[in-house]
Amino acid sequence: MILPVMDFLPSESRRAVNAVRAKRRIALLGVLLLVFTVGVSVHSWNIARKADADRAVGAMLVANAPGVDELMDGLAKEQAILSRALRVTDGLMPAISASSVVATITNMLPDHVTLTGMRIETSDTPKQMMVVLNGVAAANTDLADFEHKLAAASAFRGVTISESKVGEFMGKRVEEFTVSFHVPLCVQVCKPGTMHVAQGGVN
Amino acid sequence: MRHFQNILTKQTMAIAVDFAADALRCIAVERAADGTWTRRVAFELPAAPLDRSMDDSALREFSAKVAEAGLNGCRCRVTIASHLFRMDMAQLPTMNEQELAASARFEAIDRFGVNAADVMIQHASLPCKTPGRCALLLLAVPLLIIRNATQAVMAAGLSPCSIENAACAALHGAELRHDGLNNGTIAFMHIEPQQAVLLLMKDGQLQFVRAMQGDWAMVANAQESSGNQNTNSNSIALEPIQSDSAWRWSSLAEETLRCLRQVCEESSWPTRMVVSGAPSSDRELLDTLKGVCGMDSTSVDSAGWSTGNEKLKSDTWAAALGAASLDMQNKSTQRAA
Repeated sequence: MILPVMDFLPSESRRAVNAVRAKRRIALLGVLLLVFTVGVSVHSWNIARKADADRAVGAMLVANAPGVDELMDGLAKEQAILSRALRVTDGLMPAISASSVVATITNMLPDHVTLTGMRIETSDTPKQMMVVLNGVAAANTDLADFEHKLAAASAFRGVTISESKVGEFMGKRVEEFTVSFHVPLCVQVCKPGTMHVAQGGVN
Repeated sequence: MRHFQNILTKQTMAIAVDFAADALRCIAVERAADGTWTRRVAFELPAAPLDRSMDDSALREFSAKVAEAGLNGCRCRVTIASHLFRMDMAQLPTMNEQELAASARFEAIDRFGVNAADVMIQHASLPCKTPGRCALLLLAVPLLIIRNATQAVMAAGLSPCSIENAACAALHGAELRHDGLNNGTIAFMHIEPQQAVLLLMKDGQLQFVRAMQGDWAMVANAQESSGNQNTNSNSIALEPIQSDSAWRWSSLAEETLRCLRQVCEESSWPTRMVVSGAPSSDRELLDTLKGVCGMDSTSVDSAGWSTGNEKLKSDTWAAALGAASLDMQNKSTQRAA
């Protein structure tokens, strides 16, 4: 070089310039570090939150898993009880049905007795079937015969002629009567599928 | 973002700010692999007087330009117009470096008649023919000028890493861009509006320096400003410059001739003169120098030193480019290493 560089920048100015540059660099690095830290913190916080949520879901699943098992066990038990109850229900049959009662009464009617009305009511307490029969009989003896037949049946209890009076039926003198009795509805357990209707002792 | 990048990354551009007498110039160049200088940024602002702090408006404009160019936070080299320096040559007895520095400082204070606390003094050793003595180039500049330049550059967002005399910086640039400056005896002249600096080199070594004050801007713009008279008592009296002929440069040429006669013998007369500065593209200046001093005169053509999108308009970038070239030299040296 023809002429060496003659630098007139005083050392204090050089120091000041370097200090300013260093300050800028430090400030910039500080800002970058801050931004980086905040970014990493936010990211970590988000990850932590997501992990917490996942952990909570897992914990909930773990906590609820025995409940499900219990529920399943309970359901299985209930199903078993229900099956047993259904099997029991299948075996539960009333001792007699209204149609059987009507059929029995019809079969018991003497020749000169006819029914003009019938009322059947079922009560739960006591569990029985209340039967009230209205009819006409040609003579008292016929009515008495009918009452004896009813009273003789084991299924019919409390056979009572609650009314008997003379009346007219189709231009003839007849005995109008009202007979009442009750049929206890006994429950019997039988093997499901093999139940049969009790015939009220008629047969 | 660019600011952060400039601070954190290694700077690849060489940036220089030239506080010239006629303008404030800033240039950023990069050196390509083939050695060409690619100009990234180059802008001129109105001249900033350094005897006082830079105006706020001028500073804002400077800062805006620097920010616009994306140079915030970059390191730069600063050159200051030569007329703000005092320069002289001295011969001292041979002594060691420390003693020489102290003696040079003492000599400069004595010669320039300045207060030691108010000036920044530098010296450069020159070859001396006299045995037992050494030649020195002494330069002094007021600290106020340095501080104002430093503050202005820092306030604009740049970081100054050196401050140099514009003529010396221009010589560095010419040394890089002109072949043969290190061979034989070559005269180099850096012309500024208020001062022309003549430097004489022999085989790559500076032999002589002479600062010639004068209103060279008026001479250069003679057609526009005819009739103005220089009132500075230290300035060289100008020939009548009312005409637009080449003769208006005769005062400068004759003073140059006197300086060369003082320092050069007939056998060691310079073979050519390289001229930098705004008037260097004036053909009449070159013709006058050639006619008076008897040597080929060429312009450094600093506008052509670097390539860019737009060609630089004036030949006034030698100082800035010369200062920037120091960084490019360092970078290429590092690259080679």
